Amino acid sequence: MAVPASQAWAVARHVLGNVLSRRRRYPLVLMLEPLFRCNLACAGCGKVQYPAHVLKKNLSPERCFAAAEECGAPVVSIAGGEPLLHPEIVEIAEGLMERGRFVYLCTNALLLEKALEDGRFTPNKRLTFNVHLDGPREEHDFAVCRAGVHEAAVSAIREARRRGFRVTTNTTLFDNADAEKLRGFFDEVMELGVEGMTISPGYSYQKAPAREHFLRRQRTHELFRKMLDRPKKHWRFNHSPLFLDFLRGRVDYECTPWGNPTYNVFGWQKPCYLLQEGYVDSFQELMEQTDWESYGRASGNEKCADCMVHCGFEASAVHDTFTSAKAFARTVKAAVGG
Amino acid sequence: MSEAARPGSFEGLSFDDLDESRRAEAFAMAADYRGDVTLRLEGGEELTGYVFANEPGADPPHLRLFPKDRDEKLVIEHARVTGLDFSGADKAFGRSWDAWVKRWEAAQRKIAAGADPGAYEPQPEGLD
Repeated sequence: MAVPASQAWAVARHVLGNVLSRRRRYPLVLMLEPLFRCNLACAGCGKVQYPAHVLKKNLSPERCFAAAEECGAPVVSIAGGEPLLHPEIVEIAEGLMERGRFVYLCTNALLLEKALEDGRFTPNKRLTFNVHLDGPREEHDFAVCRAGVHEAAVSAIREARRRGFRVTTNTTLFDNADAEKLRGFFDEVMELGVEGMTISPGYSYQKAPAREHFLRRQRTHELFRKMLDRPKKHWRFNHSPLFLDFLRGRVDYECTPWGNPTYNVFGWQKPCYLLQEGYVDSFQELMEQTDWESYGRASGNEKCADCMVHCGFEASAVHDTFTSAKAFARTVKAAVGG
Repeated sequence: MSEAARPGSFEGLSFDDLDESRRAEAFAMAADYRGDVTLRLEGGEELTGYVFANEPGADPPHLRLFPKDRDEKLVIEHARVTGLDFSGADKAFGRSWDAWVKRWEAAQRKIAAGADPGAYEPQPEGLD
């Protein structure tokens, strides 16, 4: 399995608790952006294009912990910006783990090897380094607009695994993705010893500078079918198998925008990780003041029409797992049999 | 409304004597802008910073802003704003994916002739 049994159990308990208490909307993963500063300037990324005084802002560990407590999601994905540039990132990660959270530290890995050599992190089943890799060397370096980044990331992954850390990879696919090449890429990544791969179609979030290159829904189905319809035994994905079915067009889900709420230096982001339609100061305000019916494909909101990103649909798949016998059986079968 | 300094960017654009009919447009643009703006408030006060949210449906409608010179979040009611300048550099300008692809492709001949590829790679935003 791509996730430890303890994490699977924590997520299952969280979902079942909410389902049994008939809570209609509950979060699954907190997307925590403790800073926007980055040591790369990827042309496809709108997250880092801010004035210097905004890029200098860091969320304090206390604010990160308060956000995690408010939200209650069992998993925290620390993104950004580049989290390893945050001066208190170790305190943040450790504090979240002490509070019972499973932490995915999303990084381009340029600073990871040095951080490991300096002994800043200790292996823990609750800590996973989620390394950004958008494809084989040439494709990844082109995507991040800098030569040598793939090599540094691969080296850091090997070192992290050698030291006993959990490592996953995070791959975003655009309209130029080549299914056959990506199948080879999955082989390469698994040979690095990672515990799972996260893959998602890129989507045109409001301030992304490359909107015309994001995948449309039909093209997403075709690409993921070509990539995944003959999966190799050793591939492991850090996803619900139902989410991968969704990407292949085998099942349809509506978006769960509250599933991965986002907290950053501006506050709680309305309504989701990708759209920026305002900020509020508390998680309760986010849940109560957001007009959720205005989002998702069924709403007719054109911004949501082609979105199939995991931050909106993984939670839908996980919820389905625990509310449908058929979906539960499919998930168990995939977990046991691959 | 003044002319923008650069085509394709709001940078340099100004809204003077903002009235009800222009506020919606000006504030939506400010919230979409990847740079600082200067708000001219009633009473003559000026405030420069990054507008990270526009809440036209709130009661009262307001902007949320990080001032450039201090670490706090401000809520500025729409009705207090009499003018707006896109005063800071547009940090998104020229940083599109297509611009990167064009720049990289144009640089290939020079790189093949021995130029440093790093000279053509976009760099992270400076903090000064």
